[in-house]
Amino acid sequence: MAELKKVKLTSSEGTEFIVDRKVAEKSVLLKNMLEDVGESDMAIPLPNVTGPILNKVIDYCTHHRDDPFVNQEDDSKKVSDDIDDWDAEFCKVDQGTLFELILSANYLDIKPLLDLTCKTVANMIKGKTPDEIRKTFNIINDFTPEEEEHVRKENEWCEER
Amino acid sequence: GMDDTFVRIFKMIQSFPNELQIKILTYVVTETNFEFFCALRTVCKKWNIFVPLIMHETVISRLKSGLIFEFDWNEIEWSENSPPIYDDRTKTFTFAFKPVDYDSSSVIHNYNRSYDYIDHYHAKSKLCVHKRTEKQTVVDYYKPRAEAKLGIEFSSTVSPTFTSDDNMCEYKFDSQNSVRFKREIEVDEEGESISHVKLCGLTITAWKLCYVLDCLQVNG
Repeated sequence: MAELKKVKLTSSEGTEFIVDRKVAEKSVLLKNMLEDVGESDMAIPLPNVTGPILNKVIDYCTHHRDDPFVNQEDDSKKVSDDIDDWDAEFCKVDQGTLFELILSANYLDIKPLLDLTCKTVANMIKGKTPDEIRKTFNIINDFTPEEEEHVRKENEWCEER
Repeated sequence: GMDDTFVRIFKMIQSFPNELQIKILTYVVTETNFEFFCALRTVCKKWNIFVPLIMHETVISRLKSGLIFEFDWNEIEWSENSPPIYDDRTKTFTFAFKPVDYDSSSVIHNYNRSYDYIDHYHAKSKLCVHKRTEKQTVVDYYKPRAEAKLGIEFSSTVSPTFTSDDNMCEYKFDSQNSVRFKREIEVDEEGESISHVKLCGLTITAWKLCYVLDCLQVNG
């Protein structure tokens, strides 16, 4: 049965992962590749994804294997409070892992995973001051002191109320 | 090991592709309010560019979705091909409306200029944003709809300024907020020419508009 077909994926370090085709097809990139290539036992190399991250991605896709396909455009209205317990638990990782998950979800074109991880970062930004945000995410303040003062002054419009 | 640390250092949010940073920031504005969101401009140079872009887009999308926009009880809509423009230098939104017949009480008087658009317009004007429910789309301006309405009042004693085109008139409430009217002349059945004042534009400070939208959002 086509449903039970397995697919081989190779992470950036060369580690091989064998997954159900249905799980792999949660990634639009892989789905398109598999459709183009047809029946093949060749492993698909994923040079942009490390083993530990690919492992996480496969966990996510396996858990969500039966979810309906999400439309590309209808997401932005959804609030980040709608993250379910499993997904919230899945995102309890260090910041480096979270960021690598975002980049991998983007590369592999897995929209629900990209939405989830971006919402998680958005939730981390909520309620923090610009300075706290810079500290939390190691963002370099690339303004000169004069520029920063200028932007801050210009931005007083939103505090005028 | 070393390599891993090296890779992770470069996986900072700042080095993300622009579209990913914009996606994250769009979730932030959805989840918070414009007041909080606009303060994020001071985080870094890139965000200083992204924040106003996202703010502009979010304001338009909120105004489009289930809200009615009124100026002095006249429901106003912008035409599809001229969406509101945000000017980051002046921090204002400018709307070009589908011409709206201005309230009938704004008759044109023949004063020292051949016409005066807004004789009664000296005191106060109001911009209102309503939630669009089925009931509220019924044109019944004089019934209070306070439960879902938020308004901004403008007041000024300054006289209207006329542009070079004599059929246009701009009324400034202050240095940043203004409305524009156009005069259109029709000839009636008896051959008399009648002037109509049409509301055709509005410039409003971003913070005022954002404040109203923030309040509507909070009120659910």
